[in-house]
Amino acid sequence: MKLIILRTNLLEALASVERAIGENLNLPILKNFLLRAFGGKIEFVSTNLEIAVEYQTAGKIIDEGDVTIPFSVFYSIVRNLNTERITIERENNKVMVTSDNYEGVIEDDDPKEFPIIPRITDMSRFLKIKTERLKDVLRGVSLSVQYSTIRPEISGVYFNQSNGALRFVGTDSFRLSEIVVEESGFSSTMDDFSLIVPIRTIQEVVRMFNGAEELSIFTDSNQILFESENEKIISRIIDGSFPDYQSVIPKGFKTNVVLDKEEFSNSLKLVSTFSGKANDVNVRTGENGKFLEISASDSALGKSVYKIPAKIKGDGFNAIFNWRYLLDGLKIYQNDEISLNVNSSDKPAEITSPKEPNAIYIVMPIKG
Amino acid sequence: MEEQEIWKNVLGDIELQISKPNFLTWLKNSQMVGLNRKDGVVMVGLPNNFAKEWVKSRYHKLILTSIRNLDGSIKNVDYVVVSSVHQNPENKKISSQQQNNTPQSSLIDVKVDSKTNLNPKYTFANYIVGSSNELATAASQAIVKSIGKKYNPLFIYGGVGLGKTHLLQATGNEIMNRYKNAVSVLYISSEKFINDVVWALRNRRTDDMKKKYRDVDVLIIDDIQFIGGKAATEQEFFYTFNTLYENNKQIIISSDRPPTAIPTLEERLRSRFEGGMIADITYPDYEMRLAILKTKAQNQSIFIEDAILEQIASKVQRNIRELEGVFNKVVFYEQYKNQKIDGKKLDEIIGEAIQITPKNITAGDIVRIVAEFFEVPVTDMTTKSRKQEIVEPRQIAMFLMRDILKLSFPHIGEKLGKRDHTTAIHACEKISQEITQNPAFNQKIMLIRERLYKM
Repeated sequence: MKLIILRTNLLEALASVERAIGENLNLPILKNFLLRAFGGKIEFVSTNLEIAVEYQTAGKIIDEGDVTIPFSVFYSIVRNLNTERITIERENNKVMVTSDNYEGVIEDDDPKEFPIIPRITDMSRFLKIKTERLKDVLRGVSLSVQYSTIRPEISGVYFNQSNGALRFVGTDSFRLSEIVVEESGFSSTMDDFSLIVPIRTIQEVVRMFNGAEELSIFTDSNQILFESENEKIISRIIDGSFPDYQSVIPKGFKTNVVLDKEEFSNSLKLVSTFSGKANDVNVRTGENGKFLEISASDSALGKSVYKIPAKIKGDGFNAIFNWRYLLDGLKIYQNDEISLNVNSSDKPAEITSPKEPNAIYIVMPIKG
Repeated sequence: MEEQEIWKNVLGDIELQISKPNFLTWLKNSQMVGLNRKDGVVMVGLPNNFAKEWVKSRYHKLILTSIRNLDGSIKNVDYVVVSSVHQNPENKKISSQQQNNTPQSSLIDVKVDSKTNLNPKYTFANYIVGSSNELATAASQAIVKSIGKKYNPLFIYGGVGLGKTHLLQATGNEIMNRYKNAVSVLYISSEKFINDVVWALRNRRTDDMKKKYRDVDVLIIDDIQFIGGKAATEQEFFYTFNTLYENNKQIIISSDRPPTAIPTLEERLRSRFEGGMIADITYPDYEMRLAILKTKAQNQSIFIEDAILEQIASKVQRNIRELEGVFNKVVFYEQYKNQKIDGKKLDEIIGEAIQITPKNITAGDIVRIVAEFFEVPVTDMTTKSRKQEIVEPRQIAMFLMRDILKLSFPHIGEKLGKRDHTTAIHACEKISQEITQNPAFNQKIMLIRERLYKM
């Protein structure tokens, strides 16, 4: 195998495949990436046996072939080279990296030992969505996802396509966020489906696909593939059924508080200095219905109280919340105006934005 | 050779042929998930797609050769992804600790009360009462009013999926609602009870276990028939029972058959069960089935045509769980797939939901199970004997062969002692008539069927 590639292209490719470089004592080849040069395409592949990433880039292929190269050694060479064109050549089980005035020789492993990347057999049905839209939505809902695997069925983002809408849901059982992409926001030739994508995969998807306008999503019974023109990530999906989250979303509220997002978020950060281990802050409505009072106290530290002007409709309330959870809820919304809807101090509350009706954030208060 | 045994041997063989890292990465977490003897195909479960692709392309030949050395009848090996093979117990510990520390209440899984084990979804309000469960319900409600005084113990029996658990849990929930924390209730399945006994014996902590069970005011044990034949558990249960009973604590027990019909139950326990109140739950009649469906539809605010509900009620007769299964499927089709359900579609759904799987049942199984049920020697079934106690089982066996296996009458006659086909015809007619006229008899047939399907 022999090819010539531009350093910038090479760096982009390496940045992409780095996410799936594995650490596996049993299988050291996972520290390598696979470089394939066939049919005019140069392809970089890496996997940690949970996910696999593939990246295609341009370059000049002189001899077709494939090679696996230890990622960290190769990356530090390329990063420190300052020439434009880099030649990669495999000969006698050695990889030569050369530029105008540099020559490196790396011991390589047999490409046949590199894991086979699973494929999705039925590529005729897929879902297309704008990359930025998908990434925004995933960033929003993934804040609520549970990171530990104690309950595998909620350690990922729930995707649901039904009735012409695409729903994304994340929860850790203390709070839940749902964002709906309406019919005009995506196109799909798939039958209605629902599945759970591991949170680690979601995090990578959010970081990948820079510059790609549109993404295609393919799935089969146990894996999901996100694909742009030159980048792919394939992952397992979580085997389990997502809880019936719709039943958790309250149908109505006794109190509705309209607030400025920035101000609410600042007040939480300010007051939280005095909150305890459970991140508890007290939220209550002011006597005249004109402000919301956020407070926290600690017997050793002291006390802080913040009053935010607010439009309050309905009954007054006094409830305790985890301030981090409230803050996460605010991050979903782009708009300045948000609404905090409460029933009572032991029932789920909701954060919405009147101008963004497609998103919902539900949070459970802390027991008083 | 046992399935898992075969696979263990195959792994042992392959471990010698490939490198250790490869073995650990790709095959360590594998298991055999199925063996189709008819086609000679073995299904191997692997933890992820990577392992599946790799094993399929690199080790298939090795595996096939190795497996064929052990069992020549196997022709092929197929691979599937079984994600539950992969578990990480360490993570679990940490996060469960974290979760216990926070007073944060949770949105989703409120469901089961950890102290009483009761699931709040079961209440009297959503329990439909009809002639088939009237007595049991009345007795349960009487207990709620005067705990430990009226019917003690209360023994409820009835077939699978008829609502025993619902009634038991509803009683527990009602007691909790009425007396709040003044009364302690414990609901437990007999399986859990057995596990507790085993645990206590192994860890020499029988005192803890005694405290747990003997300090309650109401003890509810579901599916008691499973403790039959487990001597240590029976003994422990006997003592618990006596302690509670002497202190006028309420005991509620359920089983799939009356105490007299649990063959392995000790006499002293049986007589105690019979000392209280015994109530049965039988198969719901048509009106009750319809009422259940209508309440379900109403509770979920779903509109389904009466004609459809009536058809479901008339076609699904055996068991309320199946009734709900069919109902849910119909709702699914109407709501999510926007398909209009007609008679033909409904039959299809019913067929899917009620999977009677006679594929593994043979005529020999029927004869054996029926003989076991009536406690007559299997050999008598095929003799010329016309004693009353053997004639009825024989007729029932004929009926079941016809009904489940669709065997021809001459064949049935042949199987049961070379009898004439008219004998078989007569038997089938007689039994089907008896089933419609005599509910107790019908229940007997249902129990036999259950045993057959459970084989």
